Amino acid sequence: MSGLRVVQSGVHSLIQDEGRFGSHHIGLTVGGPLDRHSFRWANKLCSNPINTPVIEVTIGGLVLESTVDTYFAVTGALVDLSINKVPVDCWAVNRIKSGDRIELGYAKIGIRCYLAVAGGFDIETTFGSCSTVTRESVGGLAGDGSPLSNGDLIPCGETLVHPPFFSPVQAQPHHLTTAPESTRLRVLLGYQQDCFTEQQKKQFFHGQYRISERNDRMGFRLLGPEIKPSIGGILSEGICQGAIQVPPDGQPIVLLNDRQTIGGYPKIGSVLSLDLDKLAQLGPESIVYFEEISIEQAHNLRHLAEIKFQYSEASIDLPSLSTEIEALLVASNPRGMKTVSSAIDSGSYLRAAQLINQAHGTILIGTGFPVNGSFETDGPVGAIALYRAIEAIGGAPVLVCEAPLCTLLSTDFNTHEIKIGEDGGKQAQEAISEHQPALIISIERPGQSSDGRYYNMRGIDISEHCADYDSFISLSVCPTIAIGDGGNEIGMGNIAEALEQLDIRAASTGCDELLLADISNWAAHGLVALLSVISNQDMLADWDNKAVLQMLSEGGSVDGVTGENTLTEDGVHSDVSQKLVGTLRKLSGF
Amino acid sequence: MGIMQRVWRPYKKFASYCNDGRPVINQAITISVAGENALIVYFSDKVDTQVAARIKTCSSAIRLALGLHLIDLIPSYGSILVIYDSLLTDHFAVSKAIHTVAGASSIQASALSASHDGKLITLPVYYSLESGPDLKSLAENAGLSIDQVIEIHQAIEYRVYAIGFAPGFAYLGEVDERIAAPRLATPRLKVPRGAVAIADRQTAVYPAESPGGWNLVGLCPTPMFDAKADPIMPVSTGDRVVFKAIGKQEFIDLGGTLDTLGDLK
Repeated sequence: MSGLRVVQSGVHSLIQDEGRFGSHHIGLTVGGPLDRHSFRWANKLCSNPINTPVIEVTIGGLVLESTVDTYFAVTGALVDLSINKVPVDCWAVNRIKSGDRIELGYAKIGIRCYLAVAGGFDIETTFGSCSTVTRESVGGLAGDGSPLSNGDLIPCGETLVHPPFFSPVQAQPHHLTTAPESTRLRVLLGYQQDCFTEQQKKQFFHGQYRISERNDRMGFRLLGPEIKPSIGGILSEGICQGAIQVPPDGQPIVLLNDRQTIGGYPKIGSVLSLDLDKLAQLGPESIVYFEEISIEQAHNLRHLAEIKFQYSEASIDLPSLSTEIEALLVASNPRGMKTVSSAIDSGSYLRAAQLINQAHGTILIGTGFPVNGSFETDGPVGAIALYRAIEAIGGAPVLVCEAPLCTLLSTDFNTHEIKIGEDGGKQAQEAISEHQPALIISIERPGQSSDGRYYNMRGIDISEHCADYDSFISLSVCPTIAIGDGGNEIGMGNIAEALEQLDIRAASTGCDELLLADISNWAAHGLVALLSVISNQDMLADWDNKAVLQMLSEGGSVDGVTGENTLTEDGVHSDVSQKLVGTLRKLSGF
Repeated sequence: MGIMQRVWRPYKKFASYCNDGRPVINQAITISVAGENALIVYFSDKVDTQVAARIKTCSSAIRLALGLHLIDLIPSYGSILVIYDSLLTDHFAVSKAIHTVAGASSIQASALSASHDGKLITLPVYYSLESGPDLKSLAENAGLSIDQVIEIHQAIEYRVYAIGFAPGFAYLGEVDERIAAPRLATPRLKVPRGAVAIADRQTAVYPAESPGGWNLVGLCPTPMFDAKADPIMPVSTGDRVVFKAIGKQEFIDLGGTLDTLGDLK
């Protein structure tokens, strides 16, 4: 059985689905998430049905180890969240692989986090729900109400496809408030409200209440102005979610998910469910105040919130976008890349974009295909596009190439020069220990064929003019991405079999993620398009293809196909590439 | 205009007579807002066996009338809490439905004589000093013999007025005033599953081991709450219960155990 193994259960971590409904008449309470808004968003981000079980983590400290490849999201309180010690975002989808460790720190804003996995946890229900109610010994992993404990395996399956992407604008913890603010709790008067005088109601609605130490999943006890009903007790009656009970000491208690189903204290009314989500995220000493609303207002607010939630649709379906980009970039098929593209699992661009997005630190970008003592325009343009995008999302890119390209680029970019004729392994090892890269990319670098030599598209041995970047890929301990458009570039080892149908001397160097395009530079733009969506920045907006080609041309670049010093890439006019960038930008919703 | 005519206000029906000429007691109901998706229907503020019968009938009728609009329902001594799906319906529609069925059910409930409504369930009890550690003090305080206490406890047909506090905990009433006893000054940390207990004029069988401050008079071998059984509970709100004394051997034969008593004093 696969799933997430509990390495450290944290302060208090419980399995919760929406709650247990329809069993109040036999004394079972509802259970379920205290902050329903965050609970629902955790599942929505993972593309799960809303009633899918999640982990409610109170305060934090949960550490999980995955035995499966999947995606997960943490919503609710803001915590330091990391995968294998590398920080990742809350309120966003993150990928984990088998063996990865998810760590939640301690809540910084708010109290409760919700962790959902794509596809959901597979847990048996008791009385129609797996919500854990410890007091009732019901629900949870074993169905006996136990909280999660170290060593537990929370079953879930493998998910390989990224759930549709929500822009960070939609998925946000709007309801979290920081400590000094006082939180408004809207109240519907009801139940025994007639037993409270107008004077007492005034005090109740004008006073400020402090959350006491006595707050848990059953209810929050508040301290503030005393309000005393004219009666001390009533015949025990049903208690609804958010009911405000006033015991003889006059200090109100807001009753929550794990409350007893019936009780005999007078109640003044109930808190609006939307505001209970806020209350659930407040700790002791936080200040709240009450504001009266009518039942009609309550229904309106509830409906509006529901519509807002339902209408928050995934802005872009990332896997589909990736597939669309992959098809677009090999559509004209001048060198057979479309023909061999079926050898690569769909979603390669998205997986590569995620590798870039998750790489924190230095990213090496190798480029430069030698032609007649100079270098091709295809490669460096894309490398520059990637360089800019990586910088924009906070990474540290370094361009790796040989002279004369390196000399040209070093004026505007961080570069690392590699030399022709050096011991490739040694050169790569030194560069890796110098830069400690988190990711290595190759774009349009010649790759060694099975005989260890480099060939151009016409099958001519160009080893004399090539430095060894292959060793960077083969010696790296970090993930690697390679881009090519002909079959003789680094990375093509991944599809060696498919390449046999093309009339070329194929490269045998592989990589983790191979990207194909009709022109390698285009692949970079495709990647930047996906990175734009992921980081919610329109990074293709100010791309000026001609200006970049101009700069390279002045440095002596040549077109790889025509051999001419023109503002073209593989015989294609710059305007065509510029137009493609516009199409990609539109596809990604900008 | 149409909306104005449908202004929601609780209306009260006055006592009327049904066809057999018996007065229908307390037919008036009041509906109050409890929360954003909950209404509470008040039948009476007194513990009354006829009210309990009517609440039972009415609960089933509300379930039927609201169908999928109902999220949950809590019948209790004198009220029913109705939790509805506020995305599918509203308090106008729900209170209208409640009024309709409450009117019908009051006639139905009163048509049944008090002794023929609800199920009658017999719960066997092993009364003894061993299984009921508070029998002695209860008898002493009441000025009765232990046998008299046991006899009086069995003499009444109880009504299930409410289920709550813990899953399966049924409040039965009303206990004969002679053996009514206040809760213990210091509640026990552990009351065994099946303990038959008295607090004020209520009696109950603990469905599971839990803390508790009621006076323990015996042990009942019948499971009061079993998630795997159908029905989960032998009783529901509004049903009637009688207790029948059994011996130790019969208690054990019926699946009872004394092992859980531990150091219970």
